[in-house]
Amino acid sequence: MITGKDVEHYAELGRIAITAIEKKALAKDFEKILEYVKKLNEVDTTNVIPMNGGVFFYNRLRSDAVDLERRSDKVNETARVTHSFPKSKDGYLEVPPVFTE
Amino acid sequence: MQLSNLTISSIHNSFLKKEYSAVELTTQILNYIKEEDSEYGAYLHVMNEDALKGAQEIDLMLARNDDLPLLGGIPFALKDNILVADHPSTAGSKILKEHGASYDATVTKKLKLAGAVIVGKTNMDEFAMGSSGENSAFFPAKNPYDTSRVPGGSSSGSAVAVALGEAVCALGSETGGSVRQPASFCGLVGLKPTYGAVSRYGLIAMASSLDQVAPFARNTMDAAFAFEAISGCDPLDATSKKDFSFHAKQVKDFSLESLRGLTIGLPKEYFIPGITKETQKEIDHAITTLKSLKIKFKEISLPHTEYALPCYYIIMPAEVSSNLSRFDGIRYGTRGEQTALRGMYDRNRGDGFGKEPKRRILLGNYVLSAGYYDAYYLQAQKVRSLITTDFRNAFREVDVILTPTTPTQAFKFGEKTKDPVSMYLSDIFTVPVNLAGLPALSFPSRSSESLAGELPVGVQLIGRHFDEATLLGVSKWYEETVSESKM
Repeated sequence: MITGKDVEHYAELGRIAITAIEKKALAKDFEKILEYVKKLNEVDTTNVIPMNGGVFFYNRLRSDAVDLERRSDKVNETARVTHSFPKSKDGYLEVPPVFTE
Repeated sequence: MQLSNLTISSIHNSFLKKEYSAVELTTQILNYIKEEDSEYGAYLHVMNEDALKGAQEIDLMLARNDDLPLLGGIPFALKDNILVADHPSTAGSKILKEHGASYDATVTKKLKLAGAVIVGKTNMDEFAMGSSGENSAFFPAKNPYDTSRVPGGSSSGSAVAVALGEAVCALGSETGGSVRQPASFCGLVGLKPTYGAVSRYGLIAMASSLDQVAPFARNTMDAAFAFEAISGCDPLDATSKKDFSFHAKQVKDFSLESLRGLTIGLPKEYFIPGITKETQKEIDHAITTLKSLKIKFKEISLPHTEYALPCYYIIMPAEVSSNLSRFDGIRYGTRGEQTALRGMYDRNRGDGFGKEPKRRILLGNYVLSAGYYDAYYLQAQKVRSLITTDFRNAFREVDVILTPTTPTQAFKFGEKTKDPVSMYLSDIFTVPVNLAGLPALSFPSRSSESLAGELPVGVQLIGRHFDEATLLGVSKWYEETVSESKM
């Protein structure tokens, strides 16, 4: 049984403000979805290795070195990043002050 | 020029013969979008200026008699969760309505390098969550075959654009069927590549272990050309496969002998009572057609099929809850007026996300919570293992698996919005493939000319890891057979 209080808790974990109406609807949806996924408990998974990625591959690492070719792109990228931000000034992002008097 | 009949090869030849220029083609497409798209809602953003600039470069190449790459001047549409530098990418969400991409996704870069002209960013279910396009925060795209019906989702706009002729090819993204399902509803070829075949760099992530960029086309060879252009290893995506390369020539050269050497499996778990009469009839028609080409068929079993969708609805939301945490109005997204930090997060996300992302984030938090983790998430990962093993066993007996892409044809707007589970069920045949990381393709059972007012039905082919060439090969032969016999 999923209560409004449960929904509130998971919304809080997700940092999402929800309205009273949403809370009610979400509790109902949750019930239905959880009822549906409960089916998985029928499966015997003793000794089964969990699959925790897209395929059974190994992770591929690259060296932590500066890629000069990509670096030349970066000059443009800085301008693009500041451009895509709501406010910017002289190549810096402008945000509300963190410390005020 | 009938825009919805153009193919990559026909355009390429017309360019070489100077029947029309790249600027003329692009202009015609942009005008068509301007006049018609308000009725269909395929595009969220049209890149008029950049598209024309790209086309001009192609015309310059032609004037200089430079070698024109095959994709040179071909109009492409990109789903709005794939980044194109200096253009908006909202992922269909209000929270990103002001977001402009500061870099190109790898697939975007590759298409640009191949000379393709990107005409715009297409409509989608918010953050690629949905099977109808109705979850778009802006407006729903409509099915070109019947505007009272959905085009499928979540890559709804990409499918509509290609079906209408507002683009020649398009890219979408797949997490549980978001390209194959709309391809099926809109009479297109949709190819979901093997996990790791295409870079995910610059694709706004939904569920990282399932996501894959995937092309739409009006015929098999175009899908093969698009896949050739976007696939391959990328150092910026650690899950992209080293040493994988695909050449469209493999499909072109796929011989009748190779076709006849194949065994196609029909998994009994996929032929369930939920399939409508119309869909079943078309699947039977496809099987008969392939049998007439002397391909062997065999009944197989994928015993854990019924657990795939419940498994998906645990693993996917778990990954969603993590991936979507970056949209908080500070790192990404729209910042509200709140000043206190905690309240600001809550408000930005509460106001910015629509119903479905909220539902999935909360569900993800639930299944990952202490006390539920083992029962839900870990159990789902184990079941995922079993589903993958089912496929591996099946591919010892057969080379390709054939199923319907979806249990029904395109449904009406509003038909499934009341009950989330009924919407989720429309992905029942596509989801297992993403869980197992396999490649799969949906092709239309009939050519669009022979539909005679009927809605299209998609046939799904599933293949071994990195065996896209065989799937495309079968689809190519099918297409040729059907068009010769006017079926």
